[in-house]
Amino acid sequence: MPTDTQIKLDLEEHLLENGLRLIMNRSNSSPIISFQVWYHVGSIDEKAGITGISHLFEHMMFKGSENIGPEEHSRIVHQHGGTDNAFTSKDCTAYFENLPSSQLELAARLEADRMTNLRLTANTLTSEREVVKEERRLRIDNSLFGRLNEELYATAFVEHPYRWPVIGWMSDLETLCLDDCKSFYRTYYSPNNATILVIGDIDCKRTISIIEKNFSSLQPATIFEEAISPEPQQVEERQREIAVDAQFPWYAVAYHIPDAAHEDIQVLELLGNILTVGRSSRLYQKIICKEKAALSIFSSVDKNRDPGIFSITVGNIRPGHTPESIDTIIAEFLDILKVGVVTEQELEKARNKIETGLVFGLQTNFVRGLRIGLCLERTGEPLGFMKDLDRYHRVSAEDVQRVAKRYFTAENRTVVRLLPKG
Amino acid sequence: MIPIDFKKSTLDNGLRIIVVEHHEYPVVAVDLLVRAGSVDDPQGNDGLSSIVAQLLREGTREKDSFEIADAIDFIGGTLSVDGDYDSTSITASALAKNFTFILKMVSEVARSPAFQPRDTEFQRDKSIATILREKDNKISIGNRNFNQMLYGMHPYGHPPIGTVSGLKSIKRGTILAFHKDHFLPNKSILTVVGDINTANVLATIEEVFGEWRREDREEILLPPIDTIDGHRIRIVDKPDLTQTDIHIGHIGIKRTDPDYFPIVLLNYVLGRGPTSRLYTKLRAERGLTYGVTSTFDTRNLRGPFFIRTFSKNKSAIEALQLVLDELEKIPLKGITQAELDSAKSFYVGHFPLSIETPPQIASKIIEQEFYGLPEDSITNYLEHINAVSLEEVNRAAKRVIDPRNLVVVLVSKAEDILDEAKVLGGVELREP
Repeated sequence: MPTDTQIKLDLEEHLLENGLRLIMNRSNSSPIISFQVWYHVGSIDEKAGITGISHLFEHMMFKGSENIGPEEHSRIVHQHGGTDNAFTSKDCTAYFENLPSSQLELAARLEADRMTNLRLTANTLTSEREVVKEERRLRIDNSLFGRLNEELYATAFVEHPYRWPVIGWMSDLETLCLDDCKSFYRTYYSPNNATILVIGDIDCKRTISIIEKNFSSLQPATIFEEAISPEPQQVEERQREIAVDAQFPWYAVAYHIPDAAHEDIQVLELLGNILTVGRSSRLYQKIICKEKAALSIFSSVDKNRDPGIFSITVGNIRPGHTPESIDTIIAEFLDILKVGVVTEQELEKARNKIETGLVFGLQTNFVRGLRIGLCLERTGEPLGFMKDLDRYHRVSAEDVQRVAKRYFTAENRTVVRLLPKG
Repeated sequence: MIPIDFKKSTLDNGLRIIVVEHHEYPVVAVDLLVRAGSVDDPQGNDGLSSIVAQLLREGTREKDSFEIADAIDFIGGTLSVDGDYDSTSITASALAKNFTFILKMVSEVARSPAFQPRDTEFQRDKSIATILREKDNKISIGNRNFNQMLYGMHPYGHPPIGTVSGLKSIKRGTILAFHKDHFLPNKSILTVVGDINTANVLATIEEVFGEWRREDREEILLPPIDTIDGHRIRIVDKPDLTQTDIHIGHIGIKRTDPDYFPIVLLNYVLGRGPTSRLYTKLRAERGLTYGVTSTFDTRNLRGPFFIRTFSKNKSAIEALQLVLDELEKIPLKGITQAELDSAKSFYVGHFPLSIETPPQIASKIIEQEFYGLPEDSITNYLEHINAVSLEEVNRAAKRVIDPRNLVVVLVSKAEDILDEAKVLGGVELREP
């Protein structure tokens, strides 16, 4: 890596006696912080019948505690100039407050409170269940991409919890009950299942003392490591079609890949980048520019606790082209990667794109925290993304060929199409 | 006073320059904002400014589309164009060591696009397909219908991308003329932010943009913006929808409205974030929606004021009625001192978070420069917010919120909501 782009990111860590982990990253350029609490629980920890509980529960965390009224958490944060929110993913759930650094203690107090004192009532569950159903209707049921993506995972996975969407099946959202929520809270919301990140304008010593003061009295819970059904190896190609009300067809193809810590992940990221990122990428040039076959294309590499998928999605396939013709083009381009070699110039371009994207993202406390938290949750290494930079530089053209041969096989492939009705 | 360190300068050709130094990360961004947008689309050529913007990076006198994309991708940079209502922006970002490269690239695409017939056809075709695709997205359908009902023939009545018929009628000559008339140094603001040295940057800008010739053009006269009379309700029928998209609103204010700050605070109380009246009524108390926001889209001319939300078809009209009830209260009863204090306290505390990154700082300075706002708009931001009185807010509320004269667009499965909607007034039914 050229020395003038070298960036440094220093972390300080502190472990509380109750198992709560604190990670700090100091940057004093502006008097603001991002305060984040990451719980090691996501849809991966759910069971059939209660899918979506991690996310529904995330909503319940805003509905008040023994000391704070419903929605008051957000109201207090906003009143002090901050913003707050949360998100749930397959592997983890995170809550954050971005606020002036003078309000560090406020954030700590509020988060400590809802880590143990949450008030779960039938009334709040009733209204929040409806909110989550509206969110599902918005993001999935009435969204073409939402439906395509949901079907892709539901087809590529048959055993592992990654087969259901983070937001859960509608039928489960209808039946989740207060006892499910209470038991979920007891099981997963405890100091020893959480990591606090404080990023920005802080003094580390003072931060440690504030966290100790607010969190040290919380009791750790017994965490049961429940076995998660591994996904059996796929042995033949899977195909699905969904009829939709739409102007144009959509297409997605997926291949199973290893978990986030595996060294092939960086090769897949570079490869996906060479294929679809930037207007000069191979498939963008072919499908969008030369063939004018569709309006959008993108690829994605899952970086998850457990093995995920590499996918390519083509949106809005234009008249004169079909999902089948798109399929032929993509298959051909993947085959080229198996027999030929990518040029050093293409690899360099892909590395530069990834590296610059990373540096730009680091400019905000919130995104720095996000990077750290995600890496921690997926691989146990908070600075994994910095180490990945070295990995990208070690990837050779031969690695790309090897990885293409290994994963892009017919039996490892899943294809989903959205076809306009009529 | 908030110390924001930046340097302003103007070249002899009228090009205004803003430079913000920021050394935490080795990155730089260049933005050229040209005062030409879809508001300048001639009648019948809806989408002209947008297609001109999109074509800038499709080829110049020296490079074709692929060469431009490849050069930018190779350094890991970005080059994007955005055709908006009042302006067009060309933005490039990269590691700071590539500053001169991206500056020259921005200059080249802005000043010497080739507008090759082949590229023009490609872009026209793509824009038309993009408009057809809108029919698969209830938000886009809602947006397009709402603005069309609100602004009619005025250029704000169509989104910058234009209309299918407008795009079809655009000739290459019109494109060349639009570029010649609008892409001028004296109509542009160039901003550089990041890990750079101001003096060096100014010298490089002089070198790269100094030769750009100024020309003075007459301003185009626009049709007046009509007001809405009564409630105009439109249902756009998309039978596969299980959730209704709801747009409600009327014409709002200009960015230069003297009551800008009172209106920002008023709007926060009405429909910004998880403490607002609308959020509380619709989501927190009733679970009718996942999101509801109100927006004053402030532009050069009076942009729209609108509330957007969505709810399952069965409860859509109930949600709409609750929004109407809340709107009704605003000019009648105003907001309370406690609400105003809470809104002020949010904006005052939040200000440092809104200027965390160099691009965020730059966007505030650009806004001040573009709309010709007073020089202290940013540096005295906190004073402006703190000075707003309850009386000012409530007076502004009476002036700018008009619950009796509104446009309502519902994108839904019509048969699910039609009968209920009719109770609110005459309903016009449309296809997407």
